[in-house]
Amino acid sequence: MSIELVDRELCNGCGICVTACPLDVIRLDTLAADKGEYPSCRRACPAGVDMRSYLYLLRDGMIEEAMEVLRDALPLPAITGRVCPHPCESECSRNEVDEAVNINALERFVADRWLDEKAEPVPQVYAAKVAVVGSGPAGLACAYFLSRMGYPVTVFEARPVLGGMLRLGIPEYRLPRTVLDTQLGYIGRMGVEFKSGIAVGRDVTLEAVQKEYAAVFYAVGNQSSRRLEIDGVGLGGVSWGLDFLAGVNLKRVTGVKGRVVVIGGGNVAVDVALTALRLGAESVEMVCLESVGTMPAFKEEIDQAVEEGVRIYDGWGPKRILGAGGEAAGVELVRCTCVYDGRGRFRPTYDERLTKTIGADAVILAVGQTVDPASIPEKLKTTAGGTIQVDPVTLETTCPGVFAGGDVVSGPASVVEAVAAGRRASTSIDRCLKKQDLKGGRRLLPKRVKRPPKEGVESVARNAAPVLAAGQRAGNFKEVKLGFDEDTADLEVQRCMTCGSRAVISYVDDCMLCLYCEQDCPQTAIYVSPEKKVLPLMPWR
Amino acid sequence: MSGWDTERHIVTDVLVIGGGMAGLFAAIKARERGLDVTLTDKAYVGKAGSTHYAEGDVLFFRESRGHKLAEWLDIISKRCEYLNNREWDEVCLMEAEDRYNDLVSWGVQFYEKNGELYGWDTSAVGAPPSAYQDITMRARKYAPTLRRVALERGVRVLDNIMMVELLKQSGAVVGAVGFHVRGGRLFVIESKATVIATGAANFKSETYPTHFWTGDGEAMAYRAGAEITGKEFAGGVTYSRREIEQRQRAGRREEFSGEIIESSYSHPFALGGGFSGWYTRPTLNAEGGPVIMPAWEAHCGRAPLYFDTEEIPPKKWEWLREYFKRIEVAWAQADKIGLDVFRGGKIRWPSSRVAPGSLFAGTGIWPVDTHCATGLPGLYAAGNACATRGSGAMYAGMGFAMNHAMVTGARAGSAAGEYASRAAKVVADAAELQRAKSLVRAPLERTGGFGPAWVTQIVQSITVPYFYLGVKHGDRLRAAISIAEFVNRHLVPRLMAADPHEWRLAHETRNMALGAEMRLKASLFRTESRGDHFREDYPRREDPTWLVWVKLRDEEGGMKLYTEPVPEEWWPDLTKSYEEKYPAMLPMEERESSSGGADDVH
Repeated sequence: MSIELVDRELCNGCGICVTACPLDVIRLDTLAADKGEYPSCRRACPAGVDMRSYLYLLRDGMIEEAMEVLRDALPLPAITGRVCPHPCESECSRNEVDEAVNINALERFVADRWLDEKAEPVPQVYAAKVAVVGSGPAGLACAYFLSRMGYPVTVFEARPVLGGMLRLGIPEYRLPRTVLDTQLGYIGRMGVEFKSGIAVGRDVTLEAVQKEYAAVFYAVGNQSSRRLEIDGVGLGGVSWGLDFLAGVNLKRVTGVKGRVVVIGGGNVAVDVALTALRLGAESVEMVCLESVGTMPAFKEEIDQAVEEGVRIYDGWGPKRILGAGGEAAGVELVRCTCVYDGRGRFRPTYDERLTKTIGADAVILAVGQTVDPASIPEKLKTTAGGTIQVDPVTLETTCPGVFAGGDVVSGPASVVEAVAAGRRASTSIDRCLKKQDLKGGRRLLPKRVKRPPKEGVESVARNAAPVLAAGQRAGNFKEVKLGFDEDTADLEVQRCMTCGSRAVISYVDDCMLCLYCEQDCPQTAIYVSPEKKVLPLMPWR
Repeated sequence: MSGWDTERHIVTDVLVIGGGMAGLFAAIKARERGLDVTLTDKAYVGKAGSTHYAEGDVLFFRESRGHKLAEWLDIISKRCEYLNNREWDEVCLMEAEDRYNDLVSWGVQFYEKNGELYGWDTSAVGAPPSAYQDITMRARKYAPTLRRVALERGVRVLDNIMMVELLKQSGAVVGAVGFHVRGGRLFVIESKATVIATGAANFKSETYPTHFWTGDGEAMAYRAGAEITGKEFAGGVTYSRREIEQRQRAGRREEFSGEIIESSYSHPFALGGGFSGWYTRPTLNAEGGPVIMPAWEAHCGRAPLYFDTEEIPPKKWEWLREYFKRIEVAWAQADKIGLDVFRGGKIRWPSSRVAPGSLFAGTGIWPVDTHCATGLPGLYAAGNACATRGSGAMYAGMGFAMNHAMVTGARAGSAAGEYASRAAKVVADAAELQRAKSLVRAPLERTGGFGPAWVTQIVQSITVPYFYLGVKHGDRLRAAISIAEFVNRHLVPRLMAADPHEWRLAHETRNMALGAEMRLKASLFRTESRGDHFREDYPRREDPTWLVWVKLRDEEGGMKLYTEPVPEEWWPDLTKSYEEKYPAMLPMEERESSSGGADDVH
């Protein structure tokens, strides 16, 4: 007897046979490329990371191969492994059993182990040069993927420092600058050229760039804070969220005094609040229209703010900023009754009868970001919202050969969405330069695999990433969320249900007729032949 | 590849190698002492180790149920032909209930009937009511439960890691080096104490599904200087019908020429007719495992054989049917090949127990005390890798090995934990680490040599055929030894592997080749027959000359064999007749029908 068949149609990739086999007969094909389906995690990921494959490789200790899978989809895995909102986890089938696999922490676990790796220069195989405008995540991604293909790429950055919002917006306690610098260094070593301090449109025209470069990717992000026209915004001590964060991150702002009130309920607002706390604010209070449960910021960020002592006035909007002697002295709040209208549009309504005044020495407004109109060349058409108009599939702008993506197209979004846009643009640019059809075969989203049944899957608690104790965070910018150790990673990676992969007979020489695979398979997909195969005497090697 | 260690380095208090019943017990018990515990297995802990042998039967001794220790010990001594270590037997029996209570508290389920624990009760076949009793766990369920318990308690469980070489420093064992059998990552585990619970040692013979039992733990302990014993006892020589058919088809007629029905569990067959009725005395040790008689009958050209069970009364038939169905995997196998196990009053059983197995609780690493210490500081052995000699010269009976695995596992875990708590931290130096690592890596790094599959076939060819380790003869043993020595000296040092899969096979082959030499040499050394060690050229038990244990160890690269006497108070009464001392009959002893022995067969 030996195993003869695993039915690819019946098999649901649960992997029970792989563990049931006391030897090494069956392994999982996590690519299952013939199926043309994605597991729900991968499908939810804007960047399309193949979690199923890299987690399975990690399970077998093949971290080098796991890293290759990450590299295929992510230019900055150590960064997304820290700051990604991980939509993959929300879709994880494990949610049906107990809780999602901690994919984000595992991504970081793999990426961190390669942090110090020095990239080998990628040989350039094409003569056509590509310019990328903006060194934020979208621009970096586009440069990374094009460089991997063999294109010479130059990244123009208006600021003197690289990284865009990764450096200016994300606080250091969420993304240590050493991590950012090494990830940038990796891309640099691949052969991407960086030119900082050059703003396209100001220092050099887009036309001039186009003369030298065969294609341009425009990814300048959202650099302006959305303005709030209320009384008192001109007072001293009033600042805007992004300006504040950029000031701190460029070490121009080194301290905050007194009581700080942050207006806004998004991630930037939380970042501002926690940054102000670290810079010595006496107290930090947040004001947001939404209730705590519906704030746009990620739940874990809000939890962290509360844990560190930030007070949140939820359900309130700012009516005006009160001043004394030209300096901010407080904020008058008004009760917000509803944030969105019946069609889900942002249209807050207030109950003017309910007001409240809180004292403040500094007020920081973080109510959203917008495109800086000055950063967009005239020849690129924009939408009513001020973002660049592009084809959703190819990201080509109204100007042939010029592509755009990231926040400058989508409005404020996550790092991984920017990465996805950069990658999408790199594919378009490659096709464009090869004079191929830009759109052909680019499906927006593949099918999702059938969710595996939760029955029979033993409940195993999710391992949370460790965090720096709240008491150790005051007054410093030490990283708050810490990485898994190997033991925890080992445990967590086993929770992956490898949805939709397929078991394949890999080493039939190991089959010893125990029948465990056939007996344990919940899908009756395995057939072990009753006829024993007697192998001929083998050659010596 | 900077930033990532291609090897994983773990520092732990107690390392347990092997994740079956014994290993899991050891890990959990050591962890209960608050120590850092690492458990490795070359397959998946919770599935590995639950073999066809470990189908769930557990010997269950309870004084509260009127079981009498002296009576049980005497039964064991007689069955095991006086080579059993009664001290260990007593320990295992007396702690059976504690271990049962552990399992129940962890959530392991046992079969029950009418509110009573349910298992093989020898009174069903007319044995004294107070004699052996065993109970049965839900097969394939207990191991996952124990995995969960180990994880919940914080044992570091590492699946798919094959440990290959022990680390030694200043005479003590301070860890082991191995690798991931799929990913190929090297694992260096430094430990204060190490427990080997890697099970028995077999040769991947075709029809017996324990190909992972390649004696890995025994081999690494031997190389580190531990004593090994019990290698001359076969632990079962029976053959499956399927195997014989297939072999005929493959043209290998020299081995068998007919159908031999195997006796995996011998209780019912002890009463049976068929060939066993040809002898004046029982040919099968009443409770003992399979013995060499079927091989002998075939050797004499009298196959096909079967076990005629027509004499079993209908009531017991019903009981047997129920009983056999609990042996889930074997039952499924029978079903699979369309075999009606109970056809025509004859029991046919497809899950063969093919020679040469290991004598459970009899073969393996010699423990120097009843706490599983091996004589090497820091090294402990448990389960079938630990030769407590609880089984002496013949497997003592149903549920014995599982009971033994639990008790030795718990004891080894506790003792290793105790040792680790007070041991000064000894760390392997750079030279030792380098030695062990390069030894582990060697097959991958060789660019010329032999593939493990080919060498395995050669090892099997001098072990699996019944006429080497089943029906033995000095001439054949010497011939096989010369091949085994050649294999170990010439082929094993040139084993090569192309990938992690073959890497594991290469080390398994290396261990099996060593095991073959041990078995053949121990078999040649014991110039008598006893239990399931049968020598055509020395066909009788020789008292008191061979009331000794044969031990072997590595001495300057050579295999040294020597004996250790069984304490006199455990000897049989030498004034009794041979038949009284040894009610079970060996081949070549008198037969009712005088069709004679084998002619010119050696």
